[in-house]
Amino acid sequence: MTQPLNPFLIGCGEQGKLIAAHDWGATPLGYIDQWSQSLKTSVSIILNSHQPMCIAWGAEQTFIYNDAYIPILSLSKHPWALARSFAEVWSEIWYIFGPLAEKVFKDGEPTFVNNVQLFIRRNDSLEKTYYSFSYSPIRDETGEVKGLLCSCVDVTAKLLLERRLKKLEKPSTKIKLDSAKAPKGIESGLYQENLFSIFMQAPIGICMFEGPEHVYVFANPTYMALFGGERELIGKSLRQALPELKGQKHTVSGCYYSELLSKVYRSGKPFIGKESSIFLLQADGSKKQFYLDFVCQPKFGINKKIEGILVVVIDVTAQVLVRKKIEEAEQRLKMALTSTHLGTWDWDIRSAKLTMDEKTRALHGFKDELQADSLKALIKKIYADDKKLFMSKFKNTVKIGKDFDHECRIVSPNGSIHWIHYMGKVLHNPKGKRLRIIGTVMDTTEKKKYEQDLKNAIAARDDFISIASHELKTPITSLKLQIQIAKRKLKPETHLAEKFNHLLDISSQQIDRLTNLIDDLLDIAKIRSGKFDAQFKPTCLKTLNENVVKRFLGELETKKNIIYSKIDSEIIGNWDESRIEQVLVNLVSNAIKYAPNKPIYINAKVKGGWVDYSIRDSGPGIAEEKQSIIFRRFERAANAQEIHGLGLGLYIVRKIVESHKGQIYVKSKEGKGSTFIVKLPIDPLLV
Amino acid sequence: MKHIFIIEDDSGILDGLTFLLADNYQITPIMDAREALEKLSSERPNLILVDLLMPHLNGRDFIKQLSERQIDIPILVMTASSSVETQLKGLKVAGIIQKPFGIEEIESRISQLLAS
Repeated sequence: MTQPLNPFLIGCGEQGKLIAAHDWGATPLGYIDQWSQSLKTSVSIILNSHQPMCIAWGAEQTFIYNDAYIPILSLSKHPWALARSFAEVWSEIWYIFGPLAEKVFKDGEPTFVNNVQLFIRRNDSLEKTYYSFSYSPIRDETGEVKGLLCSCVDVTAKLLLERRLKKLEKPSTKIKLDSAKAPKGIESGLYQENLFSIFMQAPIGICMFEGPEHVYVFANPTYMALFGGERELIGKSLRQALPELKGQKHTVSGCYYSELLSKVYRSGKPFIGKESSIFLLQADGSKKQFYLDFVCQPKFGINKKIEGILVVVIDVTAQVLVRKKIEEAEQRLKMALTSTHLGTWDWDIRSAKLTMDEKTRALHGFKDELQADSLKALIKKIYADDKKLFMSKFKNTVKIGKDFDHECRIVSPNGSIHWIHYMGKVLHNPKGKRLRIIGTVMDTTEKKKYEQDLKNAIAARDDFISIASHELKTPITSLKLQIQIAKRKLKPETHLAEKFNHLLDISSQQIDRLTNLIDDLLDIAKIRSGKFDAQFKPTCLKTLNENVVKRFLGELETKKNIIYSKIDSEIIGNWDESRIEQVLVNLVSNAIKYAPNKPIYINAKVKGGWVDYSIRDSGPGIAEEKQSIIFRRFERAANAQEIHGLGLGLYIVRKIVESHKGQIYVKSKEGKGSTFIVKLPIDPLLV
Repeated sequence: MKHIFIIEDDSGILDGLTFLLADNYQITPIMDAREALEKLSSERPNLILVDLLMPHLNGRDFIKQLSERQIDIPILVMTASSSVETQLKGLKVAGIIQKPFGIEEIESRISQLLAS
């Protein structure tokens, strides 16, 4: 019948159950329910440990152990050992344990013993083992030593390995490994087996050559993967196995790779290669470049004669390529900086130390780094009038962490003034604390000069517009006046009066054409120079349209057109009156020009803050592919050969409409007339 | 007969206007605005036609001097520049006529100004 587990034994593994089931009434410890708290706690501690542990409790040193301790006891003593006396359990080595246990119980003195050789009975035979163990006293509430806690570590394997490795370091040790797959020639015994296993599992390439021809006698999988691929290496000389090495040199020593092994073989001196470039044949027949770190270590026989070479190889290709990439990137950056004439600088906020590259120092006329290591030194170079602004901007950057972007003058050592453009970025640590400002400098003296030249050129062009306007229009005004006066004063009864009258009419028309061309050209010049400013003021569309139509009355009569205008009364927009008038004049004149003898319909209405002004003619229409380009410069409808002009009118119209934030487009079908639609916001300033 | 000063440095325009207007008005043609200022100390025309861009004394400065001397005569500015409003800001002018103008246009402007 199973008893319910005592609470302190819950979850305590196999031993926990064994202890619970044991008849403790027959032992010196008495019934489990009557155990002292210190015993219960101690038992609970060892049962919950994964390290081999045991307790010897009370005057009889009654023995209790945990699951991890079972292998130490082996099946021959487990579970027999439970509740026996400590001395009985370990009778075969009590001569060692006994005195140590006594020290703990009598003097309360803990003991630690390292690497003790013990012959332990396991499976009915004595076995040589090595243990490190500690004995500690367990005291109860009164401070009296009630028990002993033993904690053990089996160090046999570790110790053996250490000794074997020590042996391996001696050159006289004979290592003979004949085959990677079947180490037949390997001396029997744990040592060689272990060594072989270490070699086989090593993440680095290991191989062994024998004889003056360097014949492979061993190669581990890592080595095979690197050098062999699918190739068989064992039993072949280096020359046979890796023919691609022919002609390949180790760059640092200048030695051919095969020669390098021969040198080691002859001299008995090891060779170390670092990041050596080598091309190796791949399974697909291509050659691939690798970078290898390697050691060629001569292997000595019993009589200290060289028998072969042990080679250890690490593939460092990835690291070298990454480093080369970084180096290349740095080189490229350097080149980029050189070709853009950019210098760099770095200001450490905490130490207030300034670092400039060569270019920056040269730009400022600093001879060496020491001269140029502070902001103070830099500010000294700045032109007197510009110092204050530079400092305040720089301080602001440090204070609020905003990018630094400032252009100012410096005085070079020969006294010449240079414009320098400083740019800087603030670097923070992960917590957002400002650490450094790094940036670039550029000599912008030339750029400044060009900017000034450009300003002068623009000013000259503006002057040209106003002078050209005056100089061209003055003679035309004069000519127009003379012709009109002549026409008026011409006496009808005069001989040839009719002929003269006709000539004067033609002259008058030519003057008007010339006037229009000059206006267009001046408008283009204004558009190009960005001087096409609109002067917005309240403008009544209906009145404007009436005035424009009135202006064409004479022409309408001769060309036999009728204009039907339908404009919502009181459309008043915030527009440039003379410019919008120019738009209407252009559109009306086009309609008359292209569609004589036909009615023209003008329509305008307001819709949600926008005015739609449309003018429809019944002319030849505009081909679809032409509709979008007629608003460009020097374009006209192709089927309008007989119409004169530069083709600037609609371009200027578009520019005026756009300066009012509006749009213009045309709807047309060939043979069915055209409708030009102007959409204007009532107030361009609100758009 | 109403009296008009025409100040214009281009002789073609000046002669043309004088010839055109002489039938209906008393015209004093003047090529240099400085001369006009001199004449104004003894004469008071009913209207002044003045060009803007002239050597020696330009139209703008001429108008300024008139207002400084508190001479209050309507002035019609003749100009080839389109942005004349900004040039004449703060100055009192009765009207502006854009060059090139036709004879009917200038006649109607003059008669309007003299009627008011």
